[in-house]
Amino acid sequence: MGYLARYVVLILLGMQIHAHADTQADNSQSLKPGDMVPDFTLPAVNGFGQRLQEARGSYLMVIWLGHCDECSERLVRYQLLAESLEIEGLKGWFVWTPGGDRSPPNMRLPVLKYEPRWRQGWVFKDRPAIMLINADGRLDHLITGDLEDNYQETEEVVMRWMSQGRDYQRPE
Amino acid sequence: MRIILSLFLMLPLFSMAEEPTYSIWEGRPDSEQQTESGDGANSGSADDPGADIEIDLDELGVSDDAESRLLRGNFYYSYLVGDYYRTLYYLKRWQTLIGSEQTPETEAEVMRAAVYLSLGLEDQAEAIFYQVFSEGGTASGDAWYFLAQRLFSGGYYERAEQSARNALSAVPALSGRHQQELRYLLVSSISEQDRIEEATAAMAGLRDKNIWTGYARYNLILAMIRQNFNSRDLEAMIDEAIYYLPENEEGTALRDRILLIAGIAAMEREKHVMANRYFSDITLESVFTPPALLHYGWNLLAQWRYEDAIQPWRILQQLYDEYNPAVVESYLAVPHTLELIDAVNQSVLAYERVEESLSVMVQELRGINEQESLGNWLAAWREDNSAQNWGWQRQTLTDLPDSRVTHFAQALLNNEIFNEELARLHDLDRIRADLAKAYADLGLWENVLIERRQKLADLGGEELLDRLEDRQMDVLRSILAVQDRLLDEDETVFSYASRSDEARIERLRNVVPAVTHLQKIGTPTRDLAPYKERWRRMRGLQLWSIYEAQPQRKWDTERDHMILRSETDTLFRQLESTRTSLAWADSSWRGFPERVQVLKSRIAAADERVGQLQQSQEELLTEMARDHLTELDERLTLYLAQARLALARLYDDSLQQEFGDSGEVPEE
Amino acid sequence: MKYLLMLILCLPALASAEDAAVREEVMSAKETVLELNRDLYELERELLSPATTRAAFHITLNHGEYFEPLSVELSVDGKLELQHLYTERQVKALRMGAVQPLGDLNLAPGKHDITVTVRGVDHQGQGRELTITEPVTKTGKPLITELLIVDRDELQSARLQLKYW
Repeated sequence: MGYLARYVVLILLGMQIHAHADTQADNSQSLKPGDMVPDFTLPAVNGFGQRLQEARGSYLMVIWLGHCDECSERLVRYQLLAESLEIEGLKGWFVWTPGGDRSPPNMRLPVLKYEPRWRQGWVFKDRPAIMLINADGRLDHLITGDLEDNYQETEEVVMRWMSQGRDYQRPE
Repeated sequence: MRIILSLFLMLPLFSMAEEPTYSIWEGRPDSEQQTESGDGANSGSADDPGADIEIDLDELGVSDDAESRLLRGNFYYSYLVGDYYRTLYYLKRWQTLIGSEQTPETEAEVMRAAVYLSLGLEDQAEAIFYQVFSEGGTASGDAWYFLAQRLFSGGYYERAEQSARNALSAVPALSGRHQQELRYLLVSSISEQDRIEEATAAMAGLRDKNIWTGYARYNLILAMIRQNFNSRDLEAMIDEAIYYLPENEEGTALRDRILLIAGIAAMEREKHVMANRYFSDITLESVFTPPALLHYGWNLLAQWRYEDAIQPWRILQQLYDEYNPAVVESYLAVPHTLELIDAVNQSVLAYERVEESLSVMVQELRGINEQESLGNWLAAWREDNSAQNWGWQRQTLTDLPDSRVTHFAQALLNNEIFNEELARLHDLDRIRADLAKAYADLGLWENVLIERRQKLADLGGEELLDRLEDRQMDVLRSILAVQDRLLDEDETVFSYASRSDEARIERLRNVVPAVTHLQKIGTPTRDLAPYKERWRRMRGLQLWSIYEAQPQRKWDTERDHMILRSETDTLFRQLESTRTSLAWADSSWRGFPERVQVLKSRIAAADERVGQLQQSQEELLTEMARDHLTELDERLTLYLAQARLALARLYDDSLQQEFGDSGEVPEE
Repeated sequence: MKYLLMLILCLPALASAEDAAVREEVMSAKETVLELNRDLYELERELLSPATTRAAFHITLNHGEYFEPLSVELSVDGKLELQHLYTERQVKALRMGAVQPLGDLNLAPGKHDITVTVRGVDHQGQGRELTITEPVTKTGKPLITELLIVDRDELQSARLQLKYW
């Protein structure tokens, strides 16, 4: 009978949570250019966690790493690219998924870690991939495939994207 | 009855270890922490919003202060992390708790204003800022800066100037990164009020090689042109403005813009050579190139350099599409100039080409300048921007979709008023969508509430609990009966005797009548003494064994009884908890359906109001577009007429010349 | 030409009287919508967590000189109920004295064990974990709980404190 109390209160109140359920019940996401990117908060291995919502107003490059075990060398060029465009308002994040004995890469940019236990986060299905998210939170470009192979294309797309996209309100 | 029984249970019955002192009817056990309540001294100063808010932790304690402190903290937290909707929510709760209509603290009031500003409510924000200001409070430099920005873009220059000045003198001071832009706002708002000297003086705070300085100088130049300022000063300002601009895309665009207005101003003052210099310096890569090329041509024409004048127009027509306003203006210019240099054939050909293009354009224009296609054009844009939020959350709105209407309305799209109205329409669209979603959500909640009520009714909780309680009572009665027996047991001789002991005592007892009977009979051979002796021995042994075992048995029995009692206690508590839960469960739906209904009707009312605004906004925009297209139609028709007239004239002249030379009269 | 000049230069025109009226109406509509939004949120909060069963949890950081939180996890009777990951902006807000509303739960009447684990870094950049387990009792009134991360100057470290009303 001890459980009756809990049953009465919690099950009844649990009904409506279904109607307002967290839309990220399934933690992996599949997106295409033009979609609004759902908000996430992920912890970082090298500092504070990052929340997508807080990056609104800036251009954001999110690099979803595939199988990465201390793969810093492979990511150096991306880091340099992001840092060189930082003054233009570009932010860069890496997202690493732990597994087995793998260690995260050692980078200056935030390296976020996806862990299913953190319900505020989600992981992109088709990794490795590079997402270019504009200041409104919309996915402008998506480049999937091996990161090293795609660097050249990424660099071109990013440069074009940054020079075209800046449409902020100019003074008269 | 329950109370009496429980009190009974509470009585210390046995002299043994201390019983627990709680009662199943009392609420909370002993672990509630109490702390001293100190002075609610929040040392956040009035002129330091959002920074260094100190909280004295010794203040914790009494509910009211603590809750107020927490709500205040929640308010600041949601503001500082940018969750502006929650900010207003916590503010309302805070106000409700302290029973005040006003915002409790000055810096909270300033934050509220900043939130309104961010959410697009400039007027309300400004009113609050000024009220704070007039009451001797201060807002931060950043807050004034944001207000100045909004006011300037809204065209309220006097107020923008005031806000900018407040920002410069505010404490805490304006952030470094906004300094230059703020000074630009100050200079520009003074320029817009045509106070040139003051604006020039205010330029002192701006760094030379900075884009904001460039923009400030640009606005100052405009003001100087409007006021027909001394040309030497104007030229000096123009040269200075151009010289210091940064070498990037934005700097180049601004440079072109300054050169364009300088050139036009010089043209109007008939300083054509100077105008040439300005126009020729403009690049071919910016949005100001088309008008520059157009004016360059006009300028050269004014200097009778006809052949030279055609060049920029040709370039213009090559680089840009025929819908570009500057190109449209240049249509008649080229053939007219060709006429002026007596290139009649070329002029005729040019006029014919122009006539053909203009006919097509006018046809097309008339086709699209009607309600439906304009409505579709707007609708397509609204659809494109449907993911954008309204107010502060909106980052940028996309351009109007590429269509025939857009091509014709290029000039309209540069009109600031049109863009402002467009943005307003977008905001209204989004607001309506938000309201619709909220209404739908409330509908879902209504269903949930019905379900909850139903579920509770179906549970039959009350009956179930009553039945369980009856069973509890039975158990309690049995326990009390046991208790009585235990009490009685203490009084008996053979207390805590086991069954086997009792059986033996019974047998001993039964032997007595037999021995007595034998004694009565009294035959000489019967010696009863050994039997009596044995009986006494047996009795003694039995008594000894009972008394020896008594403490242990008494202990065991009492212990078992205590365990039973404590189990019953727990069960009673549980029952009570469940009864409370049932009572609480009611609170999950009681009163809510009415509240939901009230909110729904408020939403419906707001939706209707916004719908009306939306309708009128849509009509306004369609009207503006139609007016523009109509005006364009008239202009194009005029040009077409002029082209045809010119063609007729040229043909006529040519015929005149032909037959005039030959002296013949043409046949009818 | 003058027309073109005006178009090109995009001189900001002053709003006409009619436009001002529309603007005011739109502002007023926006304000109404904001109020509605606020009231909706309040209703939703109470629907999800009625006052009788509500247990509200808040977090404060006292100075934060010796400890900086990166994540927090809260369990009730062994079951994980609330969790949060901190961004720099949120920690900065906490340092300024703001109070984070961690979340609301529904608790049945009676005793419950609350366990809170806060993971973060200390002033030397070393990873640290603060944990506290305390019993709380839920009565018919809303339970307000505050988790304080308090500096201990003498030990140059921090500890967790839980207070409730």
